[in-house]
Amino acid sequence: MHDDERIISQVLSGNTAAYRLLVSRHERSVFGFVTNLVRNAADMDDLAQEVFVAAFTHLDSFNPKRAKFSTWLLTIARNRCCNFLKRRSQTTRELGDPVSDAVSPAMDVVDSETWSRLDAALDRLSLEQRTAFVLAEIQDMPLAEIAVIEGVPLGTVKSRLSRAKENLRHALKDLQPGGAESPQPASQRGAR
Amino acid sequence: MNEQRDRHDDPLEMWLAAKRDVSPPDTFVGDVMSAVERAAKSKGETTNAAPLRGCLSAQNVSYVVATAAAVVCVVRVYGVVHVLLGPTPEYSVASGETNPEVPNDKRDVSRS
Repeated sequence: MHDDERIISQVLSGNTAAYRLLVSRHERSVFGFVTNLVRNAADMDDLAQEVFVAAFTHLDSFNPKRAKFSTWLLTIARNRCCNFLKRRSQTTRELGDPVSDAVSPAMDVVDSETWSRLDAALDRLSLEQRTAFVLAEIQDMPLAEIAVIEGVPLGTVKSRLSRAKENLRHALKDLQPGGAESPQPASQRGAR
Repeated sequence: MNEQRDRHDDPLEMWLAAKRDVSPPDTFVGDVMSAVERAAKSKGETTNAAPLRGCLSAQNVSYVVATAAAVVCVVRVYGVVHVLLGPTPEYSVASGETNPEVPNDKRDVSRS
């Protein structure tokens, strides 16, 4: 993090090219977060780019005493994604094809079905639960930092995460041994 | 129960591992830097244009008008004070510049 601050001071003193180092260091976490939260191939590249541009534009307002740069960056990403998802849910249900995760040839039909169910279950989570789950379980962020990003107490993050996991486990419950599955409501099938 | 849980957790872990294994495209950093360069340029233009725009703001226009009105008032007051308190033209007796007294009968009152 000390390196981040050094680079930031270089950028603020006019060396715009130094920002490339910051982008390289954090592109994976920001892109991964945006991709897993938005899950829309047409928009996630643009959104991830917007996060870095917004961070550059407001870099002088970054306070290293309040949070790490990565935390600050993911806060911007979280806010951008939430705004985007709210806008999208107001205008239309889907603007593009959701990202289809690559399925390896070795994976059997049951696993493929399981992954599809989990993807659908992730999409059905509330925005708060989804951001908490993606940050904690996919980005492997400490819960204290997630609390800073979400702007809520630590206990709230824990309960959101717990409910998110419960919902995802629930999505796997009706898979029967041997690959057969129990009937499920048409509304749930339509959500896939 | 444990067997069932293992069966559920294993695909969950595999799914999570796949989610973590997301990489941005190779051109991502370059694309971001192009956008950042554009943002830096427009930010610089905005910063340079700010003083000019500040001069033309409504608040400054009223300030300029008030200043001009104050200057006009000062000039006019100065003119009045100058007229009231300024020295009136007097002829000095000592230097002999006064008109000589002329008796009435010696005054030239002819119309020609």
